[in-house]
Amino acid sequence: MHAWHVTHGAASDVGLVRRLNEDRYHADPAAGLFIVCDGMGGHRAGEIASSRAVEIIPHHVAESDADPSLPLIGLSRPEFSPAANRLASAVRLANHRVHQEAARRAEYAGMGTTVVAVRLTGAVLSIAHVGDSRLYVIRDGAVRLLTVDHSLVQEQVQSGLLPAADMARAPHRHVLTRAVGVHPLVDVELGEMPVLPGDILLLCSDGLTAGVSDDVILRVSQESTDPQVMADRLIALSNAAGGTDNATVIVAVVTQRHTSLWKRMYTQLVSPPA
Amino acid sequence: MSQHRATPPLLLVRAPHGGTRECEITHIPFTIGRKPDNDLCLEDPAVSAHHARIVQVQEVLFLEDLSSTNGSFVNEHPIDRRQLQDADALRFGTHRVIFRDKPGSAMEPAITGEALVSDRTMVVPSAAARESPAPARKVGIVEILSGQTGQSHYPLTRQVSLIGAQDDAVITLTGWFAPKTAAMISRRGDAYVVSQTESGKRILINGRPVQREHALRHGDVVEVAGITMRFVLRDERSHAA
Repeated sequence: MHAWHVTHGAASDVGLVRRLNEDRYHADPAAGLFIVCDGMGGHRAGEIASSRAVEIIPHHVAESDADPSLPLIGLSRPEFSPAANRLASAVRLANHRVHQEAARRAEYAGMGTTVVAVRLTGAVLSIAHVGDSRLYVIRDGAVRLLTVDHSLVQEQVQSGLLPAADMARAPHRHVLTRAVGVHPLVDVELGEMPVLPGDILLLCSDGLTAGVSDDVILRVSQESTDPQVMADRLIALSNAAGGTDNATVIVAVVTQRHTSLWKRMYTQLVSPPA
Repeated sequence: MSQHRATPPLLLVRAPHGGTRECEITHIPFTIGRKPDNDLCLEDPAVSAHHARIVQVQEVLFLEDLSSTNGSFVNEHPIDRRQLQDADALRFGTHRVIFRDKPGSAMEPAITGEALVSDRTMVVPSAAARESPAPARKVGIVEILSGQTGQSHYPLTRQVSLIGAQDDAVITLTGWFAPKTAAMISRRGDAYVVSQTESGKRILINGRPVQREHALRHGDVVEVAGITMRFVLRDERSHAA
């Protein structure tokens, strides 16, 4: 039964200042899986780390769909659904593999990547994130940030050392407190939320939000109904604001497929609850 | 240990911060874990009390994971049970271990250095607690006032609690025509929100219909799919008792 339907658009751009795009994304609307990764590290190591993460996470999720008995990596947290725990397991696997590769090759030493990954299972969205890539939801005319950055400036804001308004200008705004691949173990932050019809999910790297404010995101989401148009427009606005960093965005629109009253009644009559 | 072996197999143990030591496998089974009663004791919070063991079948040694929390890895593959071969790289938690079947033989395995954080890497350890934020101080509970459900009250400890007849529902509806999904109650920080599902079931809060989603307050009476329930917030501790 597929009552929920997702359409998406995605765009990624190197920006106007950097030479390499170390952002990577993965979008699979059939599996309801969307991932944005922002790699870091010298030479080409950053794009290695982010490329690995966007390969490993969908692979682990697909394997466990085929075989739900596949063991989880790391602790299962009972307050979250099996789907959310599975997503965390996939991020931990990516951490492990990236860290291994970094340990094996000197030129990859210290490489890492942020991850923001969401998966829609039925009406429930699982959210896993590490680092400062973000997830927003646009619902009922308002933009809401669903992830809390794992960054030094975020910690300083939370402990009252830095006014929130200065976050975007702080010189150490790129310093992360968590990343995938840098340490042998990673603490993956998990979230879970029911979706509503019409929700627009927006995953992005920090390059986008460096130049594009919440208000602009909201306006762009109201100017078009096509998620690809929204994604392209947001990247264009990011570059217009300076394009100081790689910018990546996935826009996913959640809708509900119409099922007729007769079909609903029929479904209930032929499959009464056990 | 087998008497046929001139020199016992060896484990080269490398702690995450650089210390290296050797440990001979002098008897079988050979146990590995955090507790001191293991043959190889690793002081590592990521290692389980009794994490893994090495067993012998005929002439062959196997590593068996003892259902450890973070798993055992051989050459970076998570394993349940795996035959050990000379120079295999094992990992338990943050400890790396090289298995030498024939110590002193030609090939000396390279123990790769831990990835050092270079100047270019922009990650620092968090000043905040390493674990995820502490759970909310209050926990929501629904008390069933009327209707057919599995229990009379339900603590809402999960991030998302489904009300319905579906298998994974937290609040299970047992009526013959109960919808698979009637509504969902989810945590949002310290607060709780009730939301409609694809079933489109009408939700009443204190007798008034709500659309899409609605924040719940202590004492709210919620009606959906023939069930009437009261939402209350309690201190987490008193609930746990």
